[in-house]
Amino acid sequence: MITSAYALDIGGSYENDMLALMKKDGNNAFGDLNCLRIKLDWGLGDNLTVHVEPRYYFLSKSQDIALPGASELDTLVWDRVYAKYRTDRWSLTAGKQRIAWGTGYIWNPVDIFNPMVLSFAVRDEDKTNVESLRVEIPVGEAGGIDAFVLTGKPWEQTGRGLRVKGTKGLFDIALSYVDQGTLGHQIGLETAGDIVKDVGARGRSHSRQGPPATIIPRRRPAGITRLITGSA
Amino acid sequence: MKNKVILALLVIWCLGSGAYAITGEEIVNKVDANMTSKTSYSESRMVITVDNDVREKMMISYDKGTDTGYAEFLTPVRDKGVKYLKIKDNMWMYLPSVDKVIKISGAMLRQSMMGSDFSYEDALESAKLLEKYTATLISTEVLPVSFRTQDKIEIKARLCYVVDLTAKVKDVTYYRRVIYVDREYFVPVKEDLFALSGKKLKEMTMGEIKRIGSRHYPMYMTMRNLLRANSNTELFVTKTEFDIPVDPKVFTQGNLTK
Repeated sequence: MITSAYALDIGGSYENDMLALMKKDGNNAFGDLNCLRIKLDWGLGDNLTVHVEPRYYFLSKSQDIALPGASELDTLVWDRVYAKYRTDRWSLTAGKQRIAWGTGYIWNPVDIFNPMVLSFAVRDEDKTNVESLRVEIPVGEAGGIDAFVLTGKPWEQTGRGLRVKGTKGLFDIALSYVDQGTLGHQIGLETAGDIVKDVGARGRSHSRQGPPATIIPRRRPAGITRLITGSA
Repeated sequence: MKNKVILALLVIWCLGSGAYAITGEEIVNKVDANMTSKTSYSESRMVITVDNDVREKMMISYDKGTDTGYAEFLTPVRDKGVKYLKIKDNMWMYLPSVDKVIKISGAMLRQSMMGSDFSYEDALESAKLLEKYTATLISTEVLPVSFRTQDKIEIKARLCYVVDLTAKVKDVTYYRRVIYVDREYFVPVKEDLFALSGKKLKEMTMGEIKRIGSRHYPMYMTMRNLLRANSNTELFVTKTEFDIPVDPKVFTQGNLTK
């Protein structure tokens, strides 16, 4: 809560996974996967923050084993690089950032970037990041407007979305619209809250409209998940 | 002789449970008055011990009244930036790793908060116990209570009120609570929490009572969830301030994603 001009906050983590492949012929193989992640927040005055988050995967192995599907090894990956300008009424984030909509713990169909996210999993940080401009406008204590535009493509082809969120009693309710440019558009509704004591409910529903020229001409998948739990 | 016997009986009766000059409700109200403030700010260290595994977390928190609060974890690195917002009966958690605000609801409220012996519901619970419980003063008891004066911690034998709180509504996690309250300072020093079946679920103790302005406040707290084997959570309040100006924007979801 206390910030000073040009405050620099550096954090990071190192993760190591060792594996061994034992073979009957005694030709055993060993691998060692290392992941180094650095998080750097640079506060430039009271309103502007620059966030940089690179990670580096390094795999050492005893044999030259083929690893189909493995990517980003021995490569510096810039997971997040953005600048955030914040005022009392709104904030603007520009750059490679994470946009996660939805109230679900695992499945969030309204989140076009990360529809499947294990919110409490260790590897949460390895999720898709998008280059975009994002504006967030808090409204009241628990509501707000969240809008983004993806960058790097012409306006008619780019993705853009708007989400309006509010609270009614013990429920969070959010309505969202995403225009995916040439890929169609999506309307989403999310709710999360308590029906009564110890009985909570989460619901997500979305309707997606694809372009007429695609292989699946029109698609309207809609779904809802509901979790009802109770205890004596 | 007869008068002396009557007097002795009267004294015994006065010392018994039926003659307290204060009621259970008055004690709870005095505890509320001492423990809550218009606003407050705290810096704390949470130590969670499960078997031989000890984890330490640093946090700051702001509170407004009895039902609005904000907490932010500063360490360890894994938990840094995890924030909680409580507004009345609603609670949200912000996870920086996914840049996401999650509403804590339903059965999740009973889950452990950050791996500690506290549940989200314990944190969400407001101090308005009398709205849900009937308070009865059942006895007095002498308990060892620690006090902090400057850098010195002193343990004293203190006379405490023992107040029984029994739920008068159904939607409570703990059907019965027994609170031990320091008779002079109205600080709770121990609390036992029971299920409807009578089984003791949790045990909380408070100590290192420090005089801060006109109130006495416990700077140390332990919580034991008796349903978790060999588990204990200690909370050390390293700094606290009461009735300070706090920006109302602290208690908004906008502050969670900052």
